[in-house]
Amino acid sequence: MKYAGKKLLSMLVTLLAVSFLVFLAFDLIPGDPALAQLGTNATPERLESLREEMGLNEPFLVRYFKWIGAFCTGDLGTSYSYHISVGDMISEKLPISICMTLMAFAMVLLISIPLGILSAKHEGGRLDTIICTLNQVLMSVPPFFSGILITLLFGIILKWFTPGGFVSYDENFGAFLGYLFFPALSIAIPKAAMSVKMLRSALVTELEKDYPRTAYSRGNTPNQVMYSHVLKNGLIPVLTFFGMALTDILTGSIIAEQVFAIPGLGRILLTSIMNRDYPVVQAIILLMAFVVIVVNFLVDLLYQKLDPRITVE
Amino acid sequence: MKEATRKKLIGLLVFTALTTALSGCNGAGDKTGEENSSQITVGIAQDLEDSLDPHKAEAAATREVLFNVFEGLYKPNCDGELIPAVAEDYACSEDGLTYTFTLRENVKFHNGNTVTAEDVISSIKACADTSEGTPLIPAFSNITSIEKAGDRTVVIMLAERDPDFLSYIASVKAAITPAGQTDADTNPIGTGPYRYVSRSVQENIVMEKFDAYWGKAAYIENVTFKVCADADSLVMNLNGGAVDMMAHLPVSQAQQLSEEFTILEGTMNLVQGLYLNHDFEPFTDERVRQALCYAVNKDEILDIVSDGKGEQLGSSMFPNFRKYYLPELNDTYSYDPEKAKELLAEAGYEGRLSFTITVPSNYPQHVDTAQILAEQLKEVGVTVKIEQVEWNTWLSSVYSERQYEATVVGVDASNLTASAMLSRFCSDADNNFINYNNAEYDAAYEAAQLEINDEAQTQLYQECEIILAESAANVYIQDLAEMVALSDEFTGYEFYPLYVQDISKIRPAENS
Amino acid sequence: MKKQSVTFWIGAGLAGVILLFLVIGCFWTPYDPEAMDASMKLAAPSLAHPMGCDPFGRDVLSRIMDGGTITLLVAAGTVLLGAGLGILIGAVTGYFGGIADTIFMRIADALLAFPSVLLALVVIALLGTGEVNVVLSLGISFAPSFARVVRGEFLRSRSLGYVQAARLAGASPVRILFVHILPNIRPVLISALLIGFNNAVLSEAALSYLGIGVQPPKASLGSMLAESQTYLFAAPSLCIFPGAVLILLVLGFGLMGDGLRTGRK
Repeated sequence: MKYAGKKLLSMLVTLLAVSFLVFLAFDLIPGDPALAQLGTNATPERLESLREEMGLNEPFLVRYFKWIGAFCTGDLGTSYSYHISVGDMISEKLPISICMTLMAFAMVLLISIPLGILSAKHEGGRLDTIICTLNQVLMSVPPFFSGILITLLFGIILKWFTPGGFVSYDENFGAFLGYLFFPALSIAIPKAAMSVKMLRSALVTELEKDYPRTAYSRGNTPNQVMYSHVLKNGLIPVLTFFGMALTDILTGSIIAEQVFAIPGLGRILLTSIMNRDYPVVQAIILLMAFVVIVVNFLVDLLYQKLDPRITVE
Repeated sequence: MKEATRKKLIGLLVFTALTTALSGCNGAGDKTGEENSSQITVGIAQDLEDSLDPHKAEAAATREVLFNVFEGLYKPNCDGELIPAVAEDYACSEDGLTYTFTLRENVKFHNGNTVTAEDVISSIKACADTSEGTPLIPAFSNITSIEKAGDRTVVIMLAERDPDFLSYIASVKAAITPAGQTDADTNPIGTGPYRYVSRSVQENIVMEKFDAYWGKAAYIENVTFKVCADADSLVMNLNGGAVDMMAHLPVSQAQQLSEEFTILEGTMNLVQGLYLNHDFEPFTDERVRQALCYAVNKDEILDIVSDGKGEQLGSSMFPNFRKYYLPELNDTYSYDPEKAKELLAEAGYEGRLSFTITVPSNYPQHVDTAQILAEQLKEVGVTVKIEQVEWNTWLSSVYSERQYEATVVGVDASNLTASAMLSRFCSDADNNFINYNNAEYDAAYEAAQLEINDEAQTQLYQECEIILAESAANVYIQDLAEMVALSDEFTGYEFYPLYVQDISKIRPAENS
Repeated sequence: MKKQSVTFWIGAGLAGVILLFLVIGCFWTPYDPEAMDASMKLAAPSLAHPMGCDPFGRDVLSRIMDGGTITLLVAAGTVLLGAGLGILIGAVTGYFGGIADTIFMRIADALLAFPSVLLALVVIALLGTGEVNVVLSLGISFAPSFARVVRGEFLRSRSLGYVQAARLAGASPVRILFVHILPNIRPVLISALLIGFNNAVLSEAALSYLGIGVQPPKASLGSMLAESQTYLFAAPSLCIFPGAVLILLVLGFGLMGDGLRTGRK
């Protein structure tokens, strides 16, 4: 419990640090959001009244605390360019990103665990060599490029999906999930390849230890040894990696959204950065960072549950 | 041998069967055949990152879409003529200072209310409000009073005569909206052929046919403007069938579309050029600017950027302006690198002129053109660096603050008046972003503004264009080729001499 | 043991060939990589242009040789910056521990919470585009993970016999850190560097795809690949060649790292 408490505290500190960094970074960026919003319509009078209205004339720390205070109460501000509430904007897009991330993550697990086990079981064999080589190649393809190739193959040549034919979740949930399948796959492939590699080497390390030999000598079959003894121990070091994979999937989703024309959080983030729409950018970045931090926290807790030897340093 | 072939064949058959089965079940959710034929998906290259209030909407891309929702008292048609819309007629007094508009009877807003004289007055007033400096429509600072003179009559008084006044009245910016509306930013209510339904950020804007429209009703029931922001994946999205119509396509992309699309060709109605900041030391010398004009090979630019399509220009006016446009100005400087070198040597810049072209990165045509210019200018010993910036950065640092050396951009006209193109080059104009300062030009432009006779005025405006060309105000390049891809299922697209997409004219093709 | 070194040598061979090809590109290319020729626009591969021409009629082979150099420079710069910062921070915090450790590791945690491309995006939004800024942004975003690896190693090493012996012999902390410990954690460092190099190449490509990488008329393998998407139908050779070079390069380094790691075991 003490372990969890200490981790929780450090998580909160990290959250605060992240929020400060985000706010600071966007305060340093050159360019005036008020001017950006007015564009060619700007007159000095209009600019000044807009700056006042947007609260840009207040000192840095005042703005930071106001912002973080409002953030905690769920008020994410109003988008400079769309004139609508950032909260509404994000909550509308959130299901898209959540679905895609979860799908990709599920794919990583579904692909990597069986393949990792298979590869470790046949260590040094032909199957292992094939899996390892394939892994290396898949890890070498830039993620957007694999997305393009998937679009070309499954979208244009095979016509299994309509490129750019995204359907919103409130319109037709089935079609929505169907469209997300290939983008999620394109995100999952490199991560899955890496997970296979990690899992394989973790399992191989475990298999070389003494306890599997003991298990064999007690008459267990290779499958029994693998599934009831080695797998659990082999998964522990990989767990951290799965946690990190989730972070990378979030990055991957920014790119996949671009390749597959999906109007999710990543797309809004990119355009908002270009439009200097700070409230939106800050909210989304903070949200993503929060997810990562919370996931890491959960991984730490799970870690300790699986391996009680781990305690506070 | 035979066996192997058979196996291959069976493999192929199984594979095709599988693909058809899969694509079959996909196709069902995708397009539902005839009953859905009155639905069109129009691709737009950027989201409307703007207010949806027509009076405040700034970006051309926003106005282009809002054109379907809003109308002014008058509106332009596809020939560039102004036709009555919310008003059915107007009368102008002898001295040109009093405009009397008669409102069309029973024009309905999309919320069901009838347009009244009060609505018209509040809309025009919103655009003419001077309390925060320049009004939203700068030309409306000329308005002295807007009065109601009967239920269907509105009288507008001007301080000075303005032959272009009706053009401003007919722009999307001067649209008629309900008086007292407070949520105009997010809930546009107009009188146009289409009614706004919903928007989803970075996803789409949905409209439906407005049944109580006063004029000729639109053909297609539902319109979705779909945001296709990534130019690189656009071709795939079009070929994949997710979009039925897309305007402003670069030629290279249009050429890769499948046969299910008809490609319509026009021009973009803008003046693309290498715009020079006249406050930047070397460009104060006319010889340097002329040298640049001689050094640029427009044929090559057109060949590379758009396969030779597009219209070469020599001054700040494009062909669709018809009476003002002077095609011969294109020949002011013909490609002559030797002459360019001579002029540079004369001005003392031989082999030591270098400058930066700042170019907005969201316009691939301009970025491409900048790259070609850099290469061509290298030939005459000019070193060019390219700096790509976001559109907003471009707006603030180039357009507003004028902190740049040169830029490649397209300048368009917000309405069909010569001054929309020419007023910016007056030395004291707010939007004179090139810092052009030429007394001769100022005088010619002012004379044109004051001229009452239409023919004489046209001639004076042409005089202005000639001055721009001869003083090499900018390196004028072209009016870019405009490519519109329209799915075979539709027909009836009309090009406007302005930046608008009129969806109400599009109808399902008869054979489908 | 033998098989692992085979993996390493295959990787080294692949990477070597590509590197040689790119190094030649520093000194000589068949054509001027920026020279345009309208008549050769999107030309298919031929004897004169073995990899075809791009939309400006520029020779793709020359551009790959030239762009590859930029890719290498960006990747090397990123790794140097990231590893330099990471080693410094990791060594100091790992060896000394205490308050500095807590603070730096909290900051590293905060930075690690941003996916690396996202962090790079923020830095580029801050500094503007261009190769140097790409290096800076990726370097900064890579530093925390280097720091973590290095810190772990120093933490482990500080209680080892040889370090204590050095301390007793009166060696200064700086000497212990960089002369005694650093060479001993070399194997871990080398594989971290190789992974970092690959991540840098792939991240640069991703940034180019998002339009914030190397700016035209300059090109990197990543930006060439990103630009080729527009012409996927008209000129597939535009994506095949830069794609192949990039993938082989990353694959080569990946195999080398793999061979090293498993070989060590």
